[in-house]
Amino acid sequence: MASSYRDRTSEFRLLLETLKKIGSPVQPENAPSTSHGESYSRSEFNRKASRIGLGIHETSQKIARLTQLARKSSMFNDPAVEIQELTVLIKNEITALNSALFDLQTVQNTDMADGGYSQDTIVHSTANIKAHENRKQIFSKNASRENPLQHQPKPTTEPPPWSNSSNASESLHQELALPSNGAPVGNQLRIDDNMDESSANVEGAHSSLLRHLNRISSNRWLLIKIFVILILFLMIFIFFVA
Amino acid sequence: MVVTSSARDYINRILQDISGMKVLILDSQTVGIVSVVYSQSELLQKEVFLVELVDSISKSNESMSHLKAVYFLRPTSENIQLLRRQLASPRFGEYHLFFSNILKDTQIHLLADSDEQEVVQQVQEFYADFVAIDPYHFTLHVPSHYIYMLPAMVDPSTVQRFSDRVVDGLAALFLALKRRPVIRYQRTSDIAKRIAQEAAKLMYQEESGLFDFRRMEVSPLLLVIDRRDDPVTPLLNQWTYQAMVHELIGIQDNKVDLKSIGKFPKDQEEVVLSSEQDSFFKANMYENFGDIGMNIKRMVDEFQQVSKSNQNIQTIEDMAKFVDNYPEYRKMHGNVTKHVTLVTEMSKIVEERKLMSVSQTEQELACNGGQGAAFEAVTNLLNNESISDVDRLRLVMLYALRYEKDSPVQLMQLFNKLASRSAKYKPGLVQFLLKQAGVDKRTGDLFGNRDLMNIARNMARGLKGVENVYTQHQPLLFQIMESIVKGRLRDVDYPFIGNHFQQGRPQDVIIFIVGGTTYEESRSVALQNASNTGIRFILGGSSVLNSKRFLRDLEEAQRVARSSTTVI
Repeated sequence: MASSYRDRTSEFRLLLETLKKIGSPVQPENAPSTSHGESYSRSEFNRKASRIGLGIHETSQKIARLTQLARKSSMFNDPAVEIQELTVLIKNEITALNSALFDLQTVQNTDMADGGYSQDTIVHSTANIKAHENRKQIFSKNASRENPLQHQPKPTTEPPPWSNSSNASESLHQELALPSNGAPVGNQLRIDDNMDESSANVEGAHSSLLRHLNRISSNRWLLIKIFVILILFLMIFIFFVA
Repeated sequence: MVVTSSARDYINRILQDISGMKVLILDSQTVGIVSVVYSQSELLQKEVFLVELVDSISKSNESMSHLKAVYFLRPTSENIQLLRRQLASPRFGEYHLFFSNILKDTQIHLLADSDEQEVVQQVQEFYADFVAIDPYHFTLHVPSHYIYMLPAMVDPSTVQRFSDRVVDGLAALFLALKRRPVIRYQRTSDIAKRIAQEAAKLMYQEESGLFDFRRMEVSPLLLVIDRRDDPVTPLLNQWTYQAMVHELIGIQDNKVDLKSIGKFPKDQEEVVLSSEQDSFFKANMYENFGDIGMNIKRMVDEFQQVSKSNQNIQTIEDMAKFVDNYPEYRKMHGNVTKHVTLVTEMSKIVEERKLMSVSQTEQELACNGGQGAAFEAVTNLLNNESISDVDRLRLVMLYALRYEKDSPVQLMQLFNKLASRSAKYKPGLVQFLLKQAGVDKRTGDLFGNRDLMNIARNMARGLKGVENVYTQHQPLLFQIMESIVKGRLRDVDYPFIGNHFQQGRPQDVIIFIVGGTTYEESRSVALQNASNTGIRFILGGSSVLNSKRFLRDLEEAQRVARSSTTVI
């Protein structure tokens, strides 16, 4: 009988590709004549996108720490205050990330006003679409690991309308109809990835808080039991003495 | 399936699937995990030409792109940080990452963020997060070892770290065995309850998918108990080979360090004492001191026969035969020298410290009744000039544990005599031991004076007599194992975690002692497994104790408790 092990290489590679997309700039080979304005706009876009990626990473670290604090169930050294502070901080950061994504869409709309993109950009867009589909498979695989009977907690913040899957498929149709709109589709998918990561992090924090609440509730039930026993003992005592 | 073959199988698989020249990079914990199941020559056979520690490898900047790096690390934050730094500026051609326990998603994220040049070939979780000392005995080498004696409020972060390390080790063991256990713990131990609850939460809630193995007929049993329920076993002198070497010299990861006890040649400063690699040790590790002497004499006689035949070289054929047999001769020579050296050294220590007299009284205190005679015997030994301070302290401790309630006046007399004789040890340590492991704190019937059946058994044994006065003591673990075999381990004293119940007798029982195991208990487990009762026992602990280590834990716990009281 062989001992069990777990291969996480595929998870690692998918994360590697995701992080590469977030961090590395896209360099089209044939630059048009308006290279100066376009390169300035692209560098601003990449800078904002990488800043959003960094923010998402820091938020996920804080959520991991929140999970660790929520697991502590010691009566002394109560981390409730720290948990509340972390929760508020995480909410504020997620709100800031949402507004940053909105700004990113503004930059994308400015880019969409320009025209004339090359064939290489369309190839990059196709690769981005494939990466997006793979990413959705990751999340579906992660969801299957959890208990199917347990209801999925809803995210506390409503996702923006541009991250809907129908919007993505509409963009796909638009790409087939109008090849010159390749770059906006790629930018749109990048925003979708960031929003998916934010939603996953928010769901993780929400489930951690629910777990903590369940533990507190169970402790309360234990307190109620002890209280009932004490009342019974007191009644018996009064009965026998009187 | 035993713990050594599980760990060995993992290391085999790590090194076998990767071809070419390799460098093996370990951390301070995994170096112990690998070294007890794999020797240096076996690593060379697998084309591992370099073995380094992960924190020392970062100091070097030499590029070795012809080598493939094989990392085997515990998934701790420090190791992830070191690995990130090394992935950012890689020195080797390929990177194969193996972790000994469950990786968190954030840790994978951090590693992927650092792999800018895409040198990582694979990321695997191989659950060998325990040091497999013997086939049925593993340990974890948990740091801050004294902390289990103190309440959680004294140092919550250290208690949490201790508990996390133990839960990680237990999770790795059951993932290696591909089983999910029913968990019981000792009622009177807070740390055992905490560890049992956290292990149950990990196996049944957080990572329940990972532990969802094919349902066997009966689940194995994990029993978490506390060292303080049996403080006698680590305090006694030992007279079986493995336990005796650990008590008098010290064994660490199946290696004995001889530098501290005398001058030896370079290749004999550290010797390997492993049942997997040494057939003489495997045959004799549970034999007592007298039998070891006879067996070593027989081994020396056989060696002299071989040596004599080697000296008789007359013809070319004899010379050729000698050259052919020389490696075997050298190996035999090394083995004989090792065992003769160890036994000689132990004999010297026994003679110097009068350990036979001390041990006789120890066994009387541990196994037989008679408070007046015991008091007189301990008093005589305290007056003896040849007895060392640590032996005096242990005698008073054993007396105090046994006759804590019987005669406080005589106990105070022993305390005063100990204080006047031994400048180093204070009676406060004995009182601290009583506070930790006194009769009110213990669950099991340690001295056989609480349960009617044990009292009757002791009286019968007193009438019958014992065959060896020095090895008559049975640890409390023996009683626990007997109760498990008969199905009479009480639910009140060892409650279950969760809603699980035992459907029948388990076929595998893993007993984990928080606070450390002893080799005497390892011997009890091995003998129990050899008796073929249908239940297989595996023993684990947070370290492997001898009396020095146990006393050091007590001293550190007392110091921390005193300082925390002062702060409050």
